[in-house]
Amino acid sequence: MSRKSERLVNLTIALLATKRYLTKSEIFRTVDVYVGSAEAKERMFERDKDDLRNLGIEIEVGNFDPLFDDEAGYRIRPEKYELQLGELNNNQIALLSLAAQAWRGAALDTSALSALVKLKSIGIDSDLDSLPALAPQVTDADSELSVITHAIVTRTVISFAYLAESLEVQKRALEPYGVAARDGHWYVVGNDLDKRDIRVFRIDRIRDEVISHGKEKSFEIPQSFSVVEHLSPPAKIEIAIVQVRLGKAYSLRRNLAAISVGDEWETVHIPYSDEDSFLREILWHGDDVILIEPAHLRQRIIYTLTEIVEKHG
Amino acid sequence: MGKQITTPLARAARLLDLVPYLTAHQGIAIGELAHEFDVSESEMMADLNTLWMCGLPGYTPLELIELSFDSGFVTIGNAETLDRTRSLSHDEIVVLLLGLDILRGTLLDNRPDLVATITQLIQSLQSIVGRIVSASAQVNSKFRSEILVALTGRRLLAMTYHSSARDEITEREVLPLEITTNDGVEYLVAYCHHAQAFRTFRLDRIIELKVLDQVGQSVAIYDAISTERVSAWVIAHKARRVHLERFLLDPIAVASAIGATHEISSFSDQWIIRSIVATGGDFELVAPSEIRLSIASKAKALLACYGVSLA
Repeated sequence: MSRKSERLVNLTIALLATKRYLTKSEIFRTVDVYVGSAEAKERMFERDKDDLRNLGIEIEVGNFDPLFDDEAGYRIRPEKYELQLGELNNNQIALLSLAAQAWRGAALDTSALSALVKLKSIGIDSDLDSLPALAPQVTDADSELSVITHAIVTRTVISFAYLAESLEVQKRALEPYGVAARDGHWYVVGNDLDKRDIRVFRIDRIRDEVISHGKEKSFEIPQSFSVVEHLSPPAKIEIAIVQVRLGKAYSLRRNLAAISVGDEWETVHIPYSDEDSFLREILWHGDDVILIEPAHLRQRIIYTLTEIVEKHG
Repeated sequence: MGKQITTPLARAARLLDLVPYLTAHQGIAIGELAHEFDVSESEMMADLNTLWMCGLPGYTPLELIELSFDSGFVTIGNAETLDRTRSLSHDEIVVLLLGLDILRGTLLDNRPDLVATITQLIQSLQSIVGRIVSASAQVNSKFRSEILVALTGRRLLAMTYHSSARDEITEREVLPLEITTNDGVEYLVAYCHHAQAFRTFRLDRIIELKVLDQVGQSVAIYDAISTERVSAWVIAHKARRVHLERFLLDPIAVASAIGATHEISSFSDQWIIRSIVATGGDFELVAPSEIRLSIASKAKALLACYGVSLA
């Protein structure tokens, strides 16, 4: 067991220290612990190379001697091995550390811990005292999050059973592109392989496990992809005229200016997109909110209320 | 997440990260080192013993990494090749990006400098992995840092709060006890002097908040938080996902038995009444009968506002 990790470390050191490409035979000759038949060494080396790449270490393949079509050579460029963020000051390190610490006990804890260790090994003290007492904590109830984020970064297809709006549990296969949290829920956005289009799924509507399968790097995330764009609420194109009892329905009318204000009521224009959910919101507020227009929605409210009275009368 | 079995690969990663960490923390105690890497002391000893065997090709004492354990304190030398901090993996970048996004959301408007720094860090991380993750607007918890200040100093908070079930905006003084999370939403548990009882407040419904100079009296009867829930029994005439999630009912069970009676519960009967009315007739509440009658009379009163009177 420890031979293997030792070998990986020694291979990394050798490839990092070299100023030119090292050929396989040079590696076998000089790097300790490559033993066995030529074939066994070969297999071992191929596996090690893959393993190092899985650790995010970039191994460059080049030609040893341009004049001869000789065997390929390998090296790791120090500038590619190093932390990618350039020079960081103690303020930036403090903020990055806080960001990692937000995952304490949450789904992505393992990566958070290794990131934190790296930040600490930069050798610059983080200036936590200069920050307000923030200590943000990720609120996540979804243990599938780490499976999904890992599938995104390795570009692996995932599949899962999803509770659709129709209340059917559907089997979905997805090239995951991104995750985002909105209003206390986590969402995954990706290319739905059956629908052949970008779709958004709320992670807590996934029943059972997320299974990642197939090969890594099996798709590309489009350059222009931005997860935020897919989660912004639909444009509110309809406008309702609504009467709101003074001092009530704070959640409905926040940030909206009143059109006119009376003794007991004020009139507000409220933009909305989805008629059904807007109707539910109006009904939630009971007799503190009366919808005036549009007329067809007012009609729907009257019809709905009549039904409620009939059912509960 | 529990301790995982260390694979040789994960171990190699840890060994590579140990070198720059030790270089930046010469003379660190072995116990502290183990703690930082979240492994046991014996695992850390095994790691250091392996690292000792590593070095440049040649592997004579001249090329090998030097480690010394001086009565439990570790120093490293001859490790220049590996002493730079390794690049962040994409998994780590995702974690940092999401964390930064949340951090930015918790900052108050009075620190534009920090917001600018965070935004710039997010952009440089996104240039590596793309715009694949976001957590902004997760909860509107810009008062979080104030609450934490009050929590650590046992200070009282003056709070303007919007209660959703009663649709009231109230002002009150509370002694904060803890921040808890339930179903992805953050709550403040506090002793409310106004009600003389323990209350929970959703962080995203706090409208205004101020830390007072006053130190709160210690409140010992923390267990006494009222957890009395109101139960009700409902029939789903139409099963819609949005309603079933609201009532925490199992969608599959309800959808496969339309017309059956299901139990729901809440801390507030007001919440139940409003929620049932908001289902627009999809749900019928059958018991308790007082709540059933309130629903009918609420709907009737509301119809009257629309100029309709039922016989």
